[in-house]
Amino acid sequence: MKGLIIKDLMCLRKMRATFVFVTVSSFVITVMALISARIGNIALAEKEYLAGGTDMPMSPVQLLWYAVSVMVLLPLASLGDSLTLAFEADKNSGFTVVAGALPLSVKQRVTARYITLFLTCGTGTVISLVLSFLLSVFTDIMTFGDFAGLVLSAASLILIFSSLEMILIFFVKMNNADYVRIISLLIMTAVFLLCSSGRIIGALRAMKPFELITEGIIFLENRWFILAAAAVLCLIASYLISTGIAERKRGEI
Amino acid sequence: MDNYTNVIELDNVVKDYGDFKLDNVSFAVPKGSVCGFIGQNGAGKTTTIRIMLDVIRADSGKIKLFGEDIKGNAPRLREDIGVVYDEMGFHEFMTGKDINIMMKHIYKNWDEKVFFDYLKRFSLPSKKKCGDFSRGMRMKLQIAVALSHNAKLLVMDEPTAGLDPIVRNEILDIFREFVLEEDHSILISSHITGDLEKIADEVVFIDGGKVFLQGNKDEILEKHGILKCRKDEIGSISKSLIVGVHEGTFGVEVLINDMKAAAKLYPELVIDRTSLEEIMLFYVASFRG
Repeated sequence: MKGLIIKDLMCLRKMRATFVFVTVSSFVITVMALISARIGNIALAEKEYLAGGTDMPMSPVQLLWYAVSVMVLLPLASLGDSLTLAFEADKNSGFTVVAGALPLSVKQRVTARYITLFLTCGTGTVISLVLSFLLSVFTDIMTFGDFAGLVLSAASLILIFSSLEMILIFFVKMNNADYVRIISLLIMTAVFLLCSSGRIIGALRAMKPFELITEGIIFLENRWFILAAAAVLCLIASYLISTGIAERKRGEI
Repeated sequence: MDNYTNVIELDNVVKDYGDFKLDNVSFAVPKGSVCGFIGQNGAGKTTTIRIMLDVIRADSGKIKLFGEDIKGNAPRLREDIGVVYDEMGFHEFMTGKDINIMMKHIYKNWDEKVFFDYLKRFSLPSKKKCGDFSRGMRMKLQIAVALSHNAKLLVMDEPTAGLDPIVRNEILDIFREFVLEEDHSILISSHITGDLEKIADEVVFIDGGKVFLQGNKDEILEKHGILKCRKDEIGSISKSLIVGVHEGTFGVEVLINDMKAAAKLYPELVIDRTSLEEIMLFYVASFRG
Protein backbone atom coordinates (compact mmCIF):
# COMPACT_ATOMS: atom_id res chain seq x y z
CA MET A 1 0.00 0.00 0.00
CA LYS A 2 2.86 2.32 0.89
CA GLY A 3 4.23 1.79 -2.62
CA LEU A 4 0.99 3.03 -4.18
CA ILE A 5 1.01 6.13 -1.97
CA ILE A 6 4.61 6.82 -3.01
CA LYS A 7 3.58 6.36 -6.65
CA ASP A 8 0.62 8.74 -6.20
CA LEU A 9 2.89 11.35 -4.63
CA MET A 10 5.28 10.93 -7.55
CA CYS A 11 2.33 11.53 -9.90
CA LEU A 12 1.50 14.71 -8.01
CA ARG A 13 5.04 16.06 -8.26
CA LYS A 14 3.96 18.40 -11.03
CA MET A 15 1.34 19.83 -8.64
CA ARG A 16 4.14 20.77 -6.27
CA ALA A 17 5.34 23.53 -8.60
CA THR A 18 1.82 25.01 -8.85
CA PHE A 19 1.38 24.83 -5.08
CA VAL A 20 4.74 26.50 -4.38
CA PHE A 21 4.06 29.21 -6.98
CA VAL A 22 0.54 29.96 -5.70
CA THR A 23 1.63 29.84 -2.05
CA VAL A 24 4.67 32.07 -2.47
CA SER A 25 2.95 34.59 -4.73
CA SER A 26 -0.20 34.84 -2.59
CA PHE A 27 2.00 35.17 0.54
CA VAL A 28 4.13 37.91 -0.98
CA ILE A 29 1.11 39.83 -2.34
CA THR A 30 -0.70 39.52 1.00
CA VAL A 31 2.34 40.70 2.98
CA MET A 32 2.73 43.69 0.65
CA ALA A 33 -0.96 44.55 0.98
CA LEU A 34 -0.83 44.22 4.77
CA ILE A 35 2.25 46.45 4.99
CA SER A 36 0.47 48.94 2.77
CA ALA A 37 -2.48 48.87 5.16
CA ARG A 38 -0.10 49.88 7.96
CA ILE A 39 2.15 52.44 6.38
CA GLY A 40 1.30 52.66 2.70
CA ASN A 41 -1.42 53.76 0.30
CA ILE A 42 -4.11 51.56 1.81
CA ALA A 43 -3.45 53.19 5.20
CA LEU A 44 -3.81 56.64 3.59
CA ALA A 45 -7.00 55.59 1.79
CA GLU A 46 -8.42 54.27 5.04
CA LYS A 47 -7.64 57.59 6.80
CA GLU A 48 -9.36 59.45 3.98
CA TYR A 49 -12.35 57.10 4.14
CA LEU A 50 -12.69 57.54 7.90
CA ALA A 51 -12.46 61.32 7.51
CA GLY A 52 -15.32 61.11 5.01
CA GLY A 53 -13.21 62.50 2.19
CA THR A 54 -14.06 59.74 -0.28
CA ASP A 55 -17.21 58.34 -1.88
CA MET A 56 -16.03 54.72 -1.58
CA PRO A 57 -18.97 52.50 -0.53
CA MET A 58 -16.76 50.43 1.71
CA SER A 59 -13.73 50.84 3.92
CA PRO A 60 -10.44 49.97 2.10
CA VAL A 61 -9.45 47.83 5.08
CA GLN A 62 -12.71 45.93 4.77
CA LEU A 63 -11.92 45.31 1.09
CA LEU A 64 -8.40 44.24 2.02
CA TRP A 65 -9.87 41.79 4.52
CA TYR A 66 -11.90 40.19 1.68
CA ALA A 67 -8.81 40.01 -0.49
CA VAL A 68 -6.61 38.54 2.25
CA SER A 69 -9.27 35.91 3.00
CA VAL A 70 -9.24 34.81 -0.63
CA MET A 71 -5.42 34.85 -0.77
CA VAL A 72 -5.18 32.61 2.29
CA LEU A 73 -7.52 30.10 0.66
CA LEU A 74 -5.68 30.02 -2.68
CA PRO A 75 -2.73 27.72 -1.80
CA LEU A 76 -5.05 25.02 -0.50
CA ALA A 77 -7.45 25.48 -3.40
CA SER A 78 -4.55 24.66 -5.74
CA LEU A 79 -4.42 21.19 -4.11
CA GLY A 80 -8.13 20.59 -4.54
CA ASP A 81 -7.61 18.64 -7.73
CA SER A 82 -5.04 16.14 -6.45
CA LEU A 83 -7.43 13.21 -6.34
CA THR A 84 -8.67 13.38 -9.92
CA LEU A 85 -5.12 14.09 -11.12
CA ALA A 86 -3.90 10.87 -9.50
CA PHE A 87 -6.77 8.89 -11.04
CA GLU A 88 -6.18 10.48 -14.44
CA ALA A 89 -2.46 9.78 -14.33
CA ASP A 90 -3.13 6.09 -13.60
CA LYS A 91 -5.71 5.84 -16.33
CA ASN A 92 -3.58 7.55 -18.97
CA SER A 93 -0.52 5.44 -18.24
CA GLY A 94 -2.42 2.14 -18.05
CA PHE A 95 -1.28 1.66 -14.45
CA THR A 96 -4.78 0.53 -13.45
CA VAL A 97 -4.08 -2.76 -15.23
CA VAL A 98 -0.74 -3.17 -13.42
CA ALA A 99 -2.36 -2.32 -10.07
CA GLY A 100 -4.84 -5.17 -10.47
CA ALA A 101 -2.00 -7.68 -10.55
CA LEU A 102 -0.21 -6.35 -7.47
CA PRO A 103 -0.43 -8.24 -4.17
CA LEU A 104 -2.88 -5.73 -2.73
CA SER A 105 -6.57 -6.06 -2.00
CA VAL A 106 -9.12 -3.73 -3.58
CA LYS A 107 -9.68 -2.15 -0.16
CA GLN A 108 -5.95 -1.48 0.27
CA ARG A 109 -5.80 0.19 -3.13
CA VAL A 110 -8.76 2.46 -2.35
CA THR A 111 -7.35 3.21 1.11
CA ALA A 112 -4.04 4.23 -0.47
CA ARG A 113 -5.88 6.88 -2.48
CA TYR A 114 -7.49 8.31 0.65
CA ILE A 115 -4.14 8.39 2.45
CA THR A 116 -2.64 10.26 -0.52
CA LEU A 117 -5.49 12.74 -0.23
CA PHE A 118 -4.83 13.22 3.51
CA LEU A 119 -1.12 13.64 2.89
CA THR A 120 -1.51 16.29 0.19
CA CYS A 121 -4.28 18.12 1.98
CA GLY A 122 -2.50 17.79 5.34
CA THR A 123 0.79 19.10 3.98
CA GLY A 124 -0.99 22.01 2.32
CA THR A 125 -2.83 22.80 5.54
CA VAL A 126 0.33 22.78 7.67
CA ILE A 127 2.17 25.03 5.20
CA SER A 128 -0.82 27.37 5.01
CA LEU A 129 -1.04 27.51 8.82
CA VAL A 130 2.64 28.42 9.09
CA LEU A 131 2.19 31.15 6.51
CA SER A 132 -0.95 32.33 8.32
CA PHE A 133 1.05 32.68 11.49
CA LEU A 134 3.62 34.80 9.65
CA LEU A 135 0.85 36.91 8.07
CA SER A 136 -0.79 37.50 11.44
CA VAL A 137 2.42 39.21 12.55
CA PHE A 138 1.95 41.89 9.86
CA THR A 139 -1.62 42.87 10.64
CA ASP A 140 -4.29 43.62 13.19
CA ILE A 141 -7.10 43.02 10.68
CA MET A 142 -7.04 39.32 11.39
CA THR A 143 -5.70 37.28 14.27
CA PHE A 144 -3.87 34.00 13.77
CA GLY A 145 -7.09 32.32 14.92
CA ASP A 146 -9.01 33.98 12.05
CA PHE A 147 -6.37 32.94 9.53
CA ALA A 148 -6.29 29.40 10.93
CA GLY A 149 -10.10 29.24 10.78
CA LEU A 150 -10.01 30.10 7.08
CA VAL A 151 -7.28 27.55 6.36
CA LEU A 152 -9.08 24.77 8.24
CA SER A 153 -12.35 25.65 6.51
CA ALA A 154 -10.60 25.46 3.12
CA ALA A 155 -9.05 22.10 4.03
CA SER A 156 -12.46 20.80 5.12
CA LEU A 157 -14.07 21.96 1.88
CA ILE A 158 -11.35 20.22 -0.14
CA LEU A 159 -11.94 17.00 1.78
CA ILE A 160 -15.71 17.24 1.19
CA PHE A 161 -15.09 17.95 -2.51
CA SER A 162 -12.69 15.00 -2.79
CA SER A 163 -15.10 12.69 -0.94
CA LEU A 164 -17.74 13.46 -3.54
CA GLU A 165 -15.27 12.97 -6.36
CA MET A 166 -14.24 9.59 -4.96
CA ILE A 167 -17.83 8.34 -4.81
CA LEU A 168 -18.50 9.57 -8.35
CA ILE A 169 -15.36 7.93 -9.70
CA PHE A 170 -16.29 4.54 -8.21
CA PHE A 171 -20.07 4.70 -8.34
CA VAL A 172 -20.65 6.02 -11.82
CA LYS A 173 -17.25 4.78 -13.03
CA MET A 174 -16.73 8.19 -14.53
CA ASN A 175 -13.85 8.11 -16.89
CA ASN A 176 -13.94 11.80 -17.63
CA ALA A 177 -12.29 13.68 -14.77
CA ASP A 178 -13.84 16.97 -15.89
CA TYR A 179 -17.35 15.61 -15.33
CA VAL A 180 -16.27 14.37 -11.89
CA ARG A 181 -14.98 17.83 -10.97
CA ILE A 182 -17.98 19.70 -12.35
CA ILE A 183 -20.62 17.43 -10.83
CA SER A 184 -18.87 17.48 -7.41
CA LEU A 185 -18.73 21.25 -7.57
CA LEU A 186 -22.39 21.46 -8.61
CA ILE A 187 -23.43 19.21 -5.71
CA MET A 188 -21.50 21.37 -3.24
CA THR A 189 -22.94 24.57 -4.72
CA ALA A 190 -26.46 23.12 -4.56
CA VAL A 191 -26.00 22.17 -0.89
CA PHE A 192 -24.62 25.65 -0.13
CA LEU A 193 -27.55 27.34 -1.90
CA LEU A 194 -30.06 25.12 -0.12
CA CYS A 195 -28.53 25.79 3.31
CA SER A 196 -28.25 29.53 2.89
CA SER A 197 -31.05 30.34 0.48
CA GLY A 198 -32.85 32.40 3.18
CA ARG A 199 -29.80 34.57 3.83
CA ILE A 200 -28.98 34.96 0.16
CA ILE A 201 -32.53 36.07 -0.69
CA GLY A 202 -32.57 38.39 2.36
CA ALA A 203 -29.26 40.02 1.41
CA LEU A 204 -30.33 40.44 -2.22
CA ARG A 205 -33.67 41.97 -1.21
CA ALA A 206 -31.92 44.38 1.17
CA MET A 207 -29.40 45.13 -1.61
CA LYS A 208 -26.58 44.30 0.78
CA PRO A 209 -24.53 41.63 -0.99
CA PHE A 210 -21.34 42.64 0.84
CA GLU A 211 -22.97 41.73 4.13
CA LEU A 212 -23.47 38.24 2.80
CA ILE A 213 -19.78 37.99 1.91
CA THR A 214 -18.80 39.37 5.32
CA GLU A 215 -21.05 36.86 7.04
CA GLY A 216 -19.58 34.09 4.90
CA ILE A 217 -16.00 34.97 5.78
CA ILE A 218 -16.84 35.30 9.46
CA PHE A 219 -18.48 31.87 9.27
CA LEU A 220 -15.35 30.37 7.68
CA GLU A 221 -13.10 32.04 10.27
CA ASN A 222 -15.09 31.08 13.35
CA ARG A 223 -17.24 28.08 12.47
CA TRP A 224 -14.59 25.99 10.70
CA PHE A 225 -15.32 23.09 13.05
CA ILE A 226 -18.78 22.69 11.49
CA LEU A 227 -17.17 22.21 8.09
CA ALA A 228 -14.52 19.95 9.64
CA ALA A 229 -17.23 17.76 11.19
CA ALA A 230 -19.05 17.66 7.83
CA ALA A 231 -15.77 16.69 6.15
CA VAL A 232 -15.23 13.82 8.60
CA LEU A 233 -18.76 12.52 7.98
CA CYS A 234 -18.39 12.86 4.20
CA LEU A 235 -15.03 11.10 4.27
CA ILE A 236 -16.36 8.18 6.31
CA ALA A 237 -19.40 7.81 4.05
CA SER A 238 -17.26 8.21 0.93
CA TYR A 239 -14.71 5.62 2.10
CA LEU A 240 -17.37 3.05 2.98
CA ILE A 241 -19.27 3.58 -0.27
CA SER A 242 -16.12 3.64 -2.43
CA THR A 243 -14.56 0.49 -0.95
CA GLY A 244 -17.91 -1.29 -1.16
CA ILE A 245 -18.44 -0.36 -4.81
CA ALA A 246 -14.84 -1.05 -5.79
CA GLU A 247 -14.94 -4.49 -4.16
CA ARG A 248 -18.21 -5.35 -5.90
CA LYS A 249 -17.44 -3.90 -9.31
CA ARG A 250 -13.74 -4.78 -9.42
CA GLY A 251 -12.23 -3.99 -12.76
CA GLU A 252 -9.66 -1.28 -12.93
CA ILE A 253 -9.31 0.97 -9.91
CA MET B 1 1.26 -24.28 -0.39
CA ASP B 2 3.99 -26.32 -2.09
CA ASN B 3 1.85 -29.48 -2.32
CA TYR B 4 0.14 -28.82 -5.60
CA THR B 5 0.46 -30.36 -9.02
CA ASN B 6 -1.17 -27.61 -11.05
CA VAL B 7 -0.03 -24.06 -10.63
CA ILE B 8 -3.22 -22.80 -12.33
CA GLU B 9 -6.58 -24.54 -12.36
CA LEU B 10 -9.69 -23.13 -13.99
CA ASP B 11 -12.86 -25.12 -13.68
CA ASN B 12 -15.93 -24.16 -15.70
CA VAL B 13 -15.26 -20.45 -15.48
CA VAL B 14 -18.04 -18.30 -16.91
CA LYS B 15 -18.07 -14.55 -17.47
CA ASP B 16 -20.88 -13.04 -19.49
CA TYR B 17 -20.52 -9.48 -20.78
CA GLY B 18 -23.58 -9.72 -23.00
CA ASP B 19 -21.71 -9.22 -26.26
CA PHE B 20 -18.96 -11.63 -25.22
CA LYS B 21 -18.97 -14.68 -23.01
CA LEU B 22 -16.26 -16.82 -21.49
CA ASP B 23 -18.06 -20.10 -21.72
CA ASN B 24 -17.15 -22.79 -19.18
CA VAL B 25 -13.43 -22.33 -19.56
CA SER B 26 -11.50 -25.15 -17.93
CA PHE B 27 -7.80 -25.89 -18.10
CA ALA B 28 -4.84 -26.56 -15.87
CA VAL B 29 -1.19 -25.58 -16.03
CA PRO B 30 1.08 -28.19 -14.42
CA LYS B 31 3.71 -26.94 -11.98
CA GLY B 32 7.07 -26.41 -13.66
CA SER B 33 5.67 -26.13 -17.17
CA VAL B 34 5.33 -23.45 -19.80
CA CYS B 35 1.78 -23.20 -21.05
CA GLY B 36 0.93 -21.38 -24.25
CA PHE B 37 -2.50 -19.78 -24.26
CA ILE B 38 -3.33 -19.45 -27.93
CA GLY B 39 -6.10 -17.51 -29.56
CA GLN B 40 -6.81 -14.68 -31.92
CA ASN B 41 -7.33 -11.13 -30.72
CA GLY B 42 -10.63 -10.99 -28.88
CA ALA B 43 -10.73 -14.74 -28.24
CA GLY B 44 -10.92 -14.26 -24.46
CA LYS B 45 -7.27 -14.63 -23.43
CA THR B 46 -6.99 -11.32 -21.57
CA THR B 47 -10.37 -11.77 -19.86
CA THR B 48 -9.34 -15.23 -18.71
CA ILE B 49 -6.04 -13.89 -17.36
CA ARG B 50 -7.77 -11.05 -15.52
CA ILE B 51 -10.28 -13.44 -13.97
CA MET B 52 -7.45 -15.76 -13.01
CA LEU B 53 -5.67 -12.91 -11.21
CA ASP B 54 -8.97 -11.83 -9.56
CA VAL B 55 -8.82 -8.43 -11.24
CA ILE B 56 -12.34 -9.10 -12.49
CA ARG B 57 -14.77 -11.57 -10.98
CA ALA B 58 -16.12 -14.60 -12.77
CA ASP B 59 -19.88 -15.16 -12.80
CA SER B 60 -19.30 -18.78 -11.87
CA GLY B 61 -16.62 -21.43 -11.79
CA LYS B 62 -13.62 -22.23 -9.63
CA ILE B 63 -10.12 -20.84 -9.92
CA LYS B 64 -7.12 -22.14 -8.06
CA LEU B 65 -3.60 -20.76 -8.03
CA PHE B 66 -0.81 -22.78 -6.41
CA GLY B 67 -3.54 -25.22 -5.29
CA GLU B 68 -5.48 -22.56 -3.37
CA ASP B 69 -8.85 -21.07 -4.21
CA ILE B 70 -8.33 -17.44 -5.21
CA LYS B 71 -11.44 -16.37 -3.30
CA GLY B 72 -10.17 -14.23 -0.44
CA ASN B 73 -6.57 -15.29 -1.12
CA ALA B 74 -5.81 -13.50 -4.37
CA PRO B 75 -3.72 -10.59 -3.00
CA ARG B 76 -1.50 -12.99 -1.03
CA LEU B 77 -1.18 -15.40 -3.96
CA ARG B 78 -0.23 -12.55 -6.30
CA GLU B 79 2.96 -12.10 -4.25
CA ASP B 80 4.28 -15.13 -6.14
CA ILE B 81 3.09 -14.07 -9.57
CA GLY B 82 4.93 -11.86 -12.01
CA VAL B 83 2.65 -10.32 -14.61
CA VAL B 84 3.67 -8.90 -17.98
CA TYR B 85 1.15 -7.18 -20.22
CA ASP B 86 1.37 -6.23 -23.87
CA GLU B 87 1.53 -2.55 -22.83
CA MET B 88 3.94 -1.31 -20.16
CA GLY B 89 1.51 0.30 -17.68
CA PHE B 90 4.06 2.30 -15.71
CA HIS B 91 3.79 6.07 -15.64
CA GLU B 92 5.91 7.55 -18.39
CA PHE B 93 7.71 9.94 -16.03
CA MET B 94 8.93 7.05 -13.87
CA THR B 95 12.51 5.89 -14.03
CA GLY B 96 13.81 2.45 -13.10
CA LYS B 97 14.80 3.93 -9.75
CA ASP B 98 11.26 5.23 -9.16
CA ILE B 99 9.79 1.84 -10.01
CA ASN B 100 12.21 0.18 -7.59
CA ILE B 101 11.13 2.56 -4.79
CA MET B 102 7.47 1.84 -5.49
CA MET B 103 7.81 -1.93 -5.83
CA LYS B 104 9.98 -2.47 -2.78
CA HIS B 105 7.12 -1.09 -0.73
CA ILE B 106 4.59 -3.33 -2.45
CA TYR B 107 6.22 -6.78 -2.78
CA LYS B 108 7.42 -8.43 0.43
CA ASN B 109 10.04 -10.36 -1.53
CA TRP B 110 11.21 -7.50 -3.72
CA ASP B 111 14.92 -7.83 -4.40
CA GLU B 112 16.35 -4.53 -5.60
CA LYS B 113 19.73 -6.05 -6.37
CA VAL B 114 18.10 -8.54 -8.73
CA PHE B 115 16.05 -5.70 -10.28
CA PHE B 116 19.05 -3.48 -10.98
CA ASP B 117 21.00 -6.49 -12.24
CA TYR B 118 18.21 -7.15 -14.75
CA LEU B 119 18.17 -3.48 -15.78
CA LYS B 120 21.90 -3.72 -16.41
CA ARG B 121 21.58 -6.99 -18.26
CA PHE B 122 18.80 -5.61 -20.46
CA SER B 123 20.78 -2.37 -21.01
CA LEU B 124 17.98 -0.31 -19.48
CA PRO B 125 19.21 2.99 -18.00
CA SER B 126 17.87 3.25 -14.45
CA LYS B 127 17.71 7.05 -14.51
CA LYS B 128 15.93 7.43 -17.85
CA LYS B 129 12.18 8.01 -17.94
CA CYS B 130 10.48 4.82 -19.11
CA GLY B 131 8.26 6.91 -21.40
CA ASP B 132 11.38 7.42 -23.53
CA PHE B 133 11.98 3.67 -23.86
CA SER B 134 11.36 1.76 -27.09
CA ARG B 135 8.67 -0.94 -27.15
CA GLY B 136 11.28 -3.66 -26.64
CA MET B 137 12.82 -1.80 -23.70
CA ARG B 138 9.40 -1.28 -22.12
CA MET B 139 8.70 -4.99 -22.38
CA LYS B 140 12.07 -5.80 -20.84
CA LEU B 141 11.37 -3.38 -18.00
CA GLN B 142 8.11 -5.19 -17.26
CA ILE B 143 9.93 -8.51 -17.33
CA ALA B 144 12.60 -7.14 -14.97
CA VAL B 145 9.85 -6.12 -12.54
CA ALA B 146 8.09 -9.48 -12.89
CA LEU B 147 11.32 -11.37 -12.16
CA SER B 148 12.52 -9.28 -9.21
CA HIS B 149 10.21 -10.49 -6.46
CA ASN B 150 10.95 -14.21 -6.50
CA ALA B 151 7.83 -15.04 -8.47
CA LYS B 152 7.06 -18.70 -9.01
CA LEU B 153 4.61 -18.08 -11.80
CA LEU B 154 4.90 -15.72 -14.72
CA VAL B 155 1.66 -14.71 -16.40
CA MET B 156 2.16 -12.91 -19.65
CA ASP B 157 -0.39 -11.43 -21.97
CA GLU B 158 1.01 -11.09 -25.49
CA PRO B 159 4.51 -10.20 -24.28
CA THR B 160 6.15 -10.56 -27.67
CA ALA B 161 3.51 -8.80 -29.78
CA GLY B 162 4.94 -5.99 -31.87
CA LEU B 163 8.57 -6.83 -31.09
CA ASP B 164 11.26 -7.52 -33.65
CA PRO B 165 12.52 -11.14 -33.93
CA ILE B 166 15.82 -10.41 -32.14
CA VAL B 167 14.17 -8.91 -29.06
CA ARG B 168 11.54 -11.68 -29.14
CA ASN B 169 14.25 -14.31 -29.06
CA GLU B 170 16.05 -12.51 -26.23
CA ILE B 171 12.83 -12.48 -24.25
CA LEU B 172 12.16 -16.15 -24.94
CA ASP B 173 15.67 -16.93 -23.65
CA ILE B 174 14.84 -15.13 -20.40
CA PHE B 175 11.71 -17.25 -20.05
CA ARG B 176 13.68 -20.43 -20.69
CA GLU B 177 16.12 -19.38 -17.99
CA PHE B 178 13.24 -18.71 -15.58
CA VAL B 179 11.76 -22.20 -15.95
CA LEU B 180 15.08 -23.88 -15.23
CA GLU B 181 13.99 -23.76 -11.57
CA GLU B 182 11.71 -26.74 -11.20
CA ASP B 183 8.91 -24.96 -9.33
CA HIS B 184 8.78 -22.07 -11.81
CA SER B 185 5.93 -22.01 -14.33
CA ILE B 186 4.78 -19.73 -17.11
CA LEU B 187 1.44 -19.01 -18.70
CA ILE B 188 2.02 -17.08 -21.88
CA SER B 189 -0.83 -15.91 -24.02
CA SER B 190 -0.09 -15.11 -27.61
CA HIS B 191 -1.35 -15.23 -31.12
CA ILE B 192 2.24 -15.54 -32.33
CA THR B 193 2.27 -19.32 -32.33
CA GLY B 194 5.86 -19.51 -33.56
CA ASP B 195 7.09 -18.24 -30.19
CA LEU B 196 4.93 -20.70 -28.30
CA GLU B 197 6.12 -23.55 -30.48
CA LYS B 198 9.67 -22.76 -29.34
CA ILE B 199 8.98 -22.54 -25.65
CA ALA B 200 5.68 -24.14 -24.57
CA ASP B 201 5.25 -27.57 -23.01
CA GLU B 202 1.48 -27.35 -22.84
CA VAL B 203 -0.95 -25.46 -25.03
CA VAL B 204 -4.51 -24.26 -24.60
CA PHE B 205 -6.43 -23.00 -27.61
CA ILE B 206 -9.31 -20.59 -27.12
CA ASP B 207 -11.73 -18.98 -29.53
CA GLY B 208 -14.95 -17.06 -28.97
CA GLY B 209 -14.58 -17.54 -25.22
CA LYS B 210 -14.42 -21.34 -25.49
CA VAL B 211 -11.44 -23.62 -25.04
CA PHE B 212 -11.44 -25.98 -28.00
CA LEU B 213 -8.18 -27.85 -27.65
CA GLN B 214 -5.63 -28.34 -24.90
CA GLY B 215 -2.86 -30.70 -23.98
CA ASN B 216 0.83 -31.41 -24.31
CA LYS B 217 2.24 -29.41 -27.23
CA ASP B 218 4.40 -32.22 -28.61
CA GLU B 219 1.53 -34.71 -28.40
CA ILE B 220 -0.80 -32.29 -30.17
CA LEU B 221 1.77 -31.64 -32.91
CA GLU B 222 2.45 -35.36 -33.22
CA LYS B 223 -1.21 -36.28 -33.50
CA HIS B 224 -2.26 -33.62 -35.94
CA GLY B 225 -1.22 -33.53 -39.56
CA ILE B 226 -2.07 -32.03 -42.89
CA LEU B 227 -3.36 -34.58 -45.35
CA LYS B 228 -3.15 -33.53 -48.97
CA CYS B 229 -5.52 -35.01 -51.52
CA ARG B 230 -7.80 -34.29 -54.45
CA LYS B 231 -11.30 -32.95 -53.90
CA ASP B 232 -12.92 -36.21 -54.94
CA GLU B 233 -10.85 -38.13 -52.37
CA ILE B 234 -12.25 -36.30 -49.33
CA GLY B 235 -15.36 -38.44 -49.26
CA SER B 236 -13.26 -41.52 -48.63
CA ILE B 237 -11.62 -40.05 -45.49
CA SER B 238 -13.18 -40.96 -42.16
CA LYS B 239 -15.08 -37.94 -40.82
CA SER B 240 -13.94 -38.64 -37.27
CA LEU B 241 -10.37 -37.89 -38.36
CA ILE B 242 -11.18 -34.59 -40.07
CA VAL B 243 -10.85 -31.34 -38.11
CA GLY B 244 -11.11 -29.00 -41.05
CA VAL B 245 -10.71 -28.74 -44.76
CA HIS B 246 -9.03 -26.05 -46.80
CA GLU B 247 -9.67 -26.07 -50.51
CA GLY B 248 -6.93 -24.79 -52.78
CA THR B 249 -6.51 -24.46 -56.53
CA PHE B 250 -4.70 -27.73 -56.95
CA GLY B 251 -6.32 -29.83 -54.28
CA VAL B 252 -7.41 -29.83 -50.67
CA GLU B 253 -5.61 -29.76 -47.36
CA VAL B 254 -7.25 -31.60 -44.52
CA LEU B 255 -6.25 -31.20 -40.89
CA ILE B 256 -6.55 -34.60 -39.29
CA ASN B 257 -6.52 -35.29 -35.58
CA ASP B 258 -4.79 -38.70 -35.65
CA MET B 259 -1.85 -38.82 -37.96
CA LYS B 260 -0.91 -42.46 -37.20
CA ALA B 261 -4.42 -43.76 -37.82
CA ALA B 262 -4.67 -41.74 -41.02
CA ALA B 263 -1.29 -43.01 -42.25
CA LYS B 264 -2.45 -46.59 -41.70
CA LEU B 265 -5.83 -46.06 -43.35
CA TYR B 266 -4.60 -43.99 -46.29
CA PRO B 267 -0.99 -44.98 -47.05
CA GLU B 268 -1.28 -43.63 -50.59
CA LEU B 269 -1.98 -40.07 -49.39
CA VAL B 270 0.65 -37.55 -48.29
CA ILE B 271 0.42 -36.45 -44.65
CA ASP B 272 2.69 -33.59 -43.56
CA ARG B 273 3.54 -32.46 -40.08
CA THR B 274 1.68 -29.35 -39.00
CA SER B 275 2.27 -26.29 -36.85
CA LEU B 276 0.36 -24.71 -33.97
CA GLU B 277 -0.64 -21.89 -36.29
CA GLU B 278 -2.21 -24.27 -38.83
CA ILE B 279 -3.93 -26.16 -36.03
CA MET B 280 -5.35 -22.89 -34.70
CA LEU B 281 -6.51 -21.76 -38.13
CA PHE B 282 -8.20 -25.04 -39.03
CA TYR B 283 -9.89 -25.43 -35.65
CA VAL B 284 -11.09 -21.83 -35.56
CA ALA B 285 -12.49 -22.16 -39.10
CA SER B 286 -14.32 -25.39 -38.28
CA PHE B 287 -15.41 -24.02 -34.90
CA ARG B 288 -17.03 -21.06 -36.56
CA GLY B 289 -18.70 -23.31 -39.13
